[in-house]
Amino acid sequence: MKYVIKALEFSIIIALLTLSVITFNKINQVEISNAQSYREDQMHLAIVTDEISSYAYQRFLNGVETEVKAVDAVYEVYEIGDLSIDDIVQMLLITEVDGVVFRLSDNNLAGKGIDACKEQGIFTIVVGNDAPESARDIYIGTNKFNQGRQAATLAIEAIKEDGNIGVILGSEYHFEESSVSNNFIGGIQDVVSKASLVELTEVAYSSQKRAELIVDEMLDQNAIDLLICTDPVDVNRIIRVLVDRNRVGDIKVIASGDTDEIIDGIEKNVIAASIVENYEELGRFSVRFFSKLMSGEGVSAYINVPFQILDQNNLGIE
Amino acid sequence: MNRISTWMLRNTLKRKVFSFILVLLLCFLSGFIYTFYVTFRVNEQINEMFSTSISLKAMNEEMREFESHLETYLASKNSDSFVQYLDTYNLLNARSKAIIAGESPYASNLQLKNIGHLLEAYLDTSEKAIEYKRGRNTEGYLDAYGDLLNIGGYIEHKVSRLEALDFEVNLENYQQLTAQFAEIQTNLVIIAILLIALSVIFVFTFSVGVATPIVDLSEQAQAIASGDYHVKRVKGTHFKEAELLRDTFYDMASHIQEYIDELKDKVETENKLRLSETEKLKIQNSLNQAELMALQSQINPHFLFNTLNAGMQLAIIEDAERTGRFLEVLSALFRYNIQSLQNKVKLSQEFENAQKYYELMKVRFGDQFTFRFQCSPEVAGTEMPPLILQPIIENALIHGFRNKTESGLIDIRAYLSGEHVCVEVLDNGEGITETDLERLNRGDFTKVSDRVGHTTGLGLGNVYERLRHFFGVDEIMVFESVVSSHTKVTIRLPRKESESC
Repeated sequence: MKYVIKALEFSIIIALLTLSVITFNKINQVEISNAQSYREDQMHLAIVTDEISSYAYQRFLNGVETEVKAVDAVYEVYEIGDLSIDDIVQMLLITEVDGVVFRLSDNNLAGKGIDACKEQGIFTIVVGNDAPESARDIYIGTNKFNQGRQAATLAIEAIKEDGNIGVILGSEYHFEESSVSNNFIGGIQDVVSKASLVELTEVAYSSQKRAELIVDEMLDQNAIDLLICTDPVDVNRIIRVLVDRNRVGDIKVIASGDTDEIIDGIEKNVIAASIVENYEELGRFSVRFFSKLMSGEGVSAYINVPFQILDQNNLGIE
Repeated sequence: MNRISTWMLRNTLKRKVFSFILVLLLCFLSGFIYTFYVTFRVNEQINEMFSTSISLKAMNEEMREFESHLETYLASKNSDSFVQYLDTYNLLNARSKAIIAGESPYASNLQLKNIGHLLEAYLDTSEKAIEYKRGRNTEGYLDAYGDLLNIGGYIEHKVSRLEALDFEVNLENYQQLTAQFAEIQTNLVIIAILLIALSVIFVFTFSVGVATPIVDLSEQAQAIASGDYHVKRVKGTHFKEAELLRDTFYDMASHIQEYIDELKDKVETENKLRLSETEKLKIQNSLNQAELMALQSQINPHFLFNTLNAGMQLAIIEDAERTGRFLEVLSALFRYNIQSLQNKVKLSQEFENAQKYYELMKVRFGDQFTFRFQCSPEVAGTEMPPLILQPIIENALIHGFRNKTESGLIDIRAYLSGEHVCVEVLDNGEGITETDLERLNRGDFTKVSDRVGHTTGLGLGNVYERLRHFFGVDEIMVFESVVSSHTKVTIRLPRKESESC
């Protein structure tokens, strides 16, 4: 009995000590995280954008996140909305950023701001579409005209050179006048114009109306045989409508992106092909080339990020 | 120091109680400190979570005041407003410098750093506005004031962004803290339960440790109270006082037992002494009785000796030699018999007296009895009380041959046997019955002693008691007999070194 009690005492003391040490460590490990840590010696990059909700933006930001860790930089995002480009540029000048990435639907609109930054010694990079009139340091982007041409080629192939093509531009294509939209649509037109039985009948912007409604209208009008869609989120919505209206197969789809749903759609032959624009690469390149500018390396003023094609052949499906 | 370490090492009740209370106190104190530390950490983390917001709120208020004073000054050039402007300017300037210089604990925040730069620009612009105002440059100061308001707007924008960001981060922090502290709380509850369990075990072992020796002692005390002083000494390691109490208790019980044994011995000895006194009195009584009887038979012994001597002379004159001899022996026998029974004689003297007795008996009974004497020279000098042998021989004559017509033989021998001198009186008389033999060997001579006849009057009982008293031993006389064959009385006298014939 005596030894049992001694053993019990010993076990409790050991348990107490162990638990105390564990709890003590836990207490000491409790740390609240700060919003954003920053050191004086870190490179300070600002991203100015006019949309933050698209798939493209999220992927772009992922690329930025990855690269800032690699080059030891910090970044902040300025969204045009409450503040004008001038205000933002003013703030960038006052807060003494090291570099600015302009990711606007039309970077030409930030021309003055870019010049003002340059005057202050701030490096400027434009992403997505170029602002050739400005004093920007680098343009990083995909050739939208080529992308349009590729999309059209895939579309014509899918409808066997006979039929009407509709285009739904995603939220990264803000308005009709933007150079990006114009380049992309221009590329499609360039190819379509050469095919006598193919016609580009519909161009719509999902930033103005939800993709489901656009597709519904197109189907009601019986105006299209194929849809080119530039936003992966829109692709999912369109496929849902086609399934609901039992038009899968009747209406071919050329998608954008490489999400699981899109790959699954290609495998099931719901989607004919997908053009994968590497938005993450855009984000990574933005930071990487900014870093190179900061370190004084010579950098090309024009960086092209190529796109890829995904279809059943690429995925190894017969 | 040495005293303290000695005291700590000593297993005393005081030390035990002290250690017990100290351990309990330390347990609960550590629990308390632990809880305090946890609370402190929680408080610290919560303060950290909201300190940015508090700081920004204060800055916003200062900025509003600053703008108000500046506006008043620009409108009226009032010196009081300027002083107030300077006061708030200094406050904001200090804040801006602290943020930019990284002195603020939250300067590591990028947005705060931006706010610092904006604040600096804000203050610079205010200085410009005042300069323009002093230079009476109305357009200049209005532009500068406009810029200042714009920068104020930027700051507000940054603050709202930072607060929104802070809210998100703090919400995450709050959820993280809640989860972590829930786990810590569970651990603390377990620690508290373990502490309580440990305390209960400590209290139990302490109370058992203190109570056990006392309970054991009280049980043994109860046994002593009921008369059992043979306390079994229980060994065990207890605290010093309990061991001292136990040892003292055992010693006390042992002393009481010794005292009681001593008393018993004393009482026994006293009883023995009392018995011995009684024996002495009995012997004295026997002697007195014997002497009285001897005195009764010594009526004027001088007259008897003178008369016997006169008779002896007459027998010589008348040439009656045998009569003369008879009277001479009779006179010697009387002389021997009337001596004090407390005298000491030698065995040879007893033999001589017995031979005289035989000579007289021969005159009386003729050849009816034959006495044979044989005394080993080495035992002849043995000291003994007088008148021992004669009463035994008389007894053999009277009882052995009472109903016997044949001639009798009485063999009297004395010889050395080991550490004893044996004196035997063997007769071929009618013997003694088994019942009487057993009684005699038991030392009961009542029946024999009561008998009177042709004897000196000294019974066997008297002889036995005197021998026993003289030599201090009990079994000194042994009777052996076969009915119709013989009777042998053996006296076994303890031998002394100096004795010889």
